[in-house]
Amino acid sequence: MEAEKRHAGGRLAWTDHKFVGLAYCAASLFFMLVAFGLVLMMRWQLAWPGEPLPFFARIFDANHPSLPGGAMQPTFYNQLGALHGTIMIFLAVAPVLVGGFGSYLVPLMIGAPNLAFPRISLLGLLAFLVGGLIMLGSFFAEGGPAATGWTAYPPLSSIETTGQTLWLLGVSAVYLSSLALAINLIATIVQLRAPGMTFMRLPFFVWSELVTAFLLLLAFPPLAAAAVLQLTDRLRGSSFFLPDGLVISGQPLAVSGGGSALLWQHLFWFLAHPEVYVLILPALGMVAEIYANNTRKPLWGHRSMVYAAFFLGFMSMLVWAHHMFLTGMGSVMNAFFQTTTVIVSVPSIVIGTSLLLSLWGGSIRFTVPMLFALAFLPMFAIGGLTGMPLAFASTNIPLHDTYYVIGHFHYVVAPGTIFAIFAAIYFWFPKISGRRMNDLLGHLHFWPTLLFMNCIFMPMIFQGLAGVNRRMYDGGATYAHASEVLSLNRMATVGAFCLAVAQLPFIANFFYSLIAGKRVDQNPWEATTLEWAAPSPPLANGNFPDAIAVHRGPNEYSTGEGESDYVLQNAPGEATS
Amino acid sequence: MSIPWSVDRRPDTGHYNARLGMGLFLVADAMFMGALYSSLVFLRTAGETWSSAMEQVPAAGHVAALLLAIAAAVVLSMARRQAGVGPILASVVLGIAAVAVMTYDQAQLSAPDAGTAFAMVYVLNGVVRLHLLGGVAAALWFLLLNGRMRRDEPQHFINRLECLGMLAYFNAFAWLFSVAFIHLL
Ligand code: HEM
Ligand SMILES: [Cu+2]
Repeated sequence: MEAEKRHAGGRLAWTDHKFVGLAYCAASLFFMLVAFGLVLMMRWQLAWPGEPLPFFARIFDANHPSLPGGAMQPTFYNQLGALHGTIMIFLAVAPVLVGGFGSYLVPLMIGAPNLAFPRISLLGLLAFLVGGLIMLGSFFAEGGPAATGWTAYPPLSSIETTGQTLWLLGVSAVYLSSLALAINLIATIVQLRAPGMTFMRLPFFVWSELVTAFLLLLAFPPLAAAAVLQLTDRLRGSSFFLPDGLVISGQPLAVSGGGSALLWQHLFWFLAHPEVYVLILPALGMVAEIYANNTRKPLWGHRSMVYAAFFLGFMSMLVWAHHMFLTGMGSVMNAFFQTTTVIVSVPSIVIGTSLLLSLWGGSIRFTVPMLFALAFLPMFAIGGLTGMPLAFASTNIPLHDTYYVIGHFHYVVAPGTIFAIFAAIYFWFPKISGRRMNDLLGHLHFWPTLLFMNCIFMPMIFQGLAGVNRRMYDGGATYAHASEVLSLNRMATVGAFCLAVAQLPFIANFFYSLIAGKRVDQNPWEATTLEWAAPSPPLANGNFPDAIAVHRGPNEYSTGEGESDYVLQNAPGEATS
Repeated sequence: MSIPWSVDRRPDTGHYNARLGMGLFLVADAMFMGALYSSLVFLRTAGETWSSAMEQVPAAGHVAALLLAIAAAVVLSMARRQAGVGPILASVVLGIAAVAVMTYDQAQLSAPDAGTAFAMVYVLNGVVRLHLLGGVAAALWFLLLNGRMRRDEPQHFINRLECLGMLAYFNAFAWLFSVAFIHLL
């Protein structure tokens, strides 16, 4: 016991998957906070256009060109928007799901001592941090950071200031990190499964990470290629994305011409659509584990969920041009991509329905992680169902580029994925720290967060239906058709600031529990997957004290075997699956 | 704690870890190169001003570099059989020769701002050269810094050569497709 404790508390090597995972978590949660701060400034401007910003303005000096007298300039709004989107997606949500929880949990869940390529995982982490620093550093570049959205569409992006070059370099660094992660996770899952851990015995979370890793592996390289081409355009005077005869402020642009702005859109969305599945699949996986544990039942349709996830991953690479219905691709292309898009919704619905049915007839434990996981499902459903009108070219036309789209995808990623991330933090915190988070503070975090998330994003759906465009720095104040729904801007902004306040109990809980939370043993939730067969925290070197052999499926709850209502995957004996 | 299957092949998957990892890397790399080729095709068919520029691009140097890259890959697969120093060294020389020919070729050509066709050649040439240089650097690393491994853990060393060989073949194919798209489309 003493020896075990010393081991468990021992120092993690730089190349240990737990160190890398925790570092990804810490860095991406920090980036999430930054991106949230950026959007709070934007929300202020949308609700009270031109009014001096409250406390944010103090960070900048009074004569700063972006904020003269504290009032936001249009370009600065664009820059905040671009960096909010970019940081949230590339530096916050995707890395916490894949680099953080993926690196930390996958080896544990399959009974492995580490990732397959520990040094490469450390190099990937470094690339990620470099990418993040470049992105944040671009705020100090001449002319400020990138201003053309997270989509970086040319021709605008090709003629932007230095910030755009830094954006491209930052995204390229993130690409290297995600490549390292994808290779590592796939190789780890295929090669390092403990004896007896067949593919169908893998927990659904591991499956979701496997499919996610394949998406990153296959879809990100074209964006890296596009970044190389745009860098060549910007630095070496080529014109891959610049057509002939461009005129800027009355002056013809001196480029060789012959390029196509649409080429960028194709290359970008070939990554960016699968990327949204990168943002949702691991979330579904984490929610699935938490459901099984808190309903004390196996997942309903584990096998069909696995097949659905695979089909989803495959199909997600064939839908990208549904973001381009308005580019005049022609009706044949539109018909093709709207059809694939409708098809890809089927596996999502299979997974969602399986999760819903998993709740049926369970004796649900309403723990804090379960509350977040439960709220995830309807929020994800709103996000998914509001996507249907966007899938069809004809209904997409009036909705494209409106706040309806902003509302739609935020429902997926903010109250959707972010809830899953919170659920996962509350759920795996005891494994990582050996202590539990406080329940009361957890409730104080959950309920207001649920309320205010909806205060922010529901209004956007209605504004979008009224025709309010996205990416407008005054929130539509100058448009007659927006006047009816303009007051909703203030509702969303008040909601956003209240949401910020609602995170205080979480932050307090997190640090308080790290130091003084209630100590737990290795399996406080009475769970079945292998991470709960390791000490809390797992051994610094090799995770498990004894060799692991797997004898059964991932969620053996209430099987009637033994006196407790759960059986760990490595428990010897007759397997029922 | 040592990581399982880092040298031996896992019986049910048939791979040691690095071989699978290298395979996955090359799949991603194929998507990268594929995106560049698709861009070339897209611009060739969509853009109005591809021009007859391509006729100025000399094919002889491109083909010579291709032969050198293929030779490097083949020699490396010989090295794998005996873990021999000679063939590794030969592959390094061949790789550097290929890079030299490509560099010379590129220097003869108009700059990327002279037209999209030239720019495409510039990017493909540059990207493949970087690949080749990566392979050369790895070969030199194995030669100079892995002497002890070659003696004491020959299987581990041979595995490394096998993975490097996979990269070398990929590089040759990447340039083969580049040359085909540049000159035949
Ligand atoms: C919970 C707090 C959040 C709030 C209040 C918020 C709010 C906003 C607002 C107001 C916009 C700009 C709309 C416009 O001017 O067009 C925006 C854009 C965006 N947000 Fe969020 N967001 C939040 C979280 C997230 C998360 C978690 C993600 C991603 C995982 C995300 C990704 C994006 C993206 C990609 C854009 C588009 C940027 C662009 O136009 O290129 N946001 N968000
Ligand atoms: Cu999409």
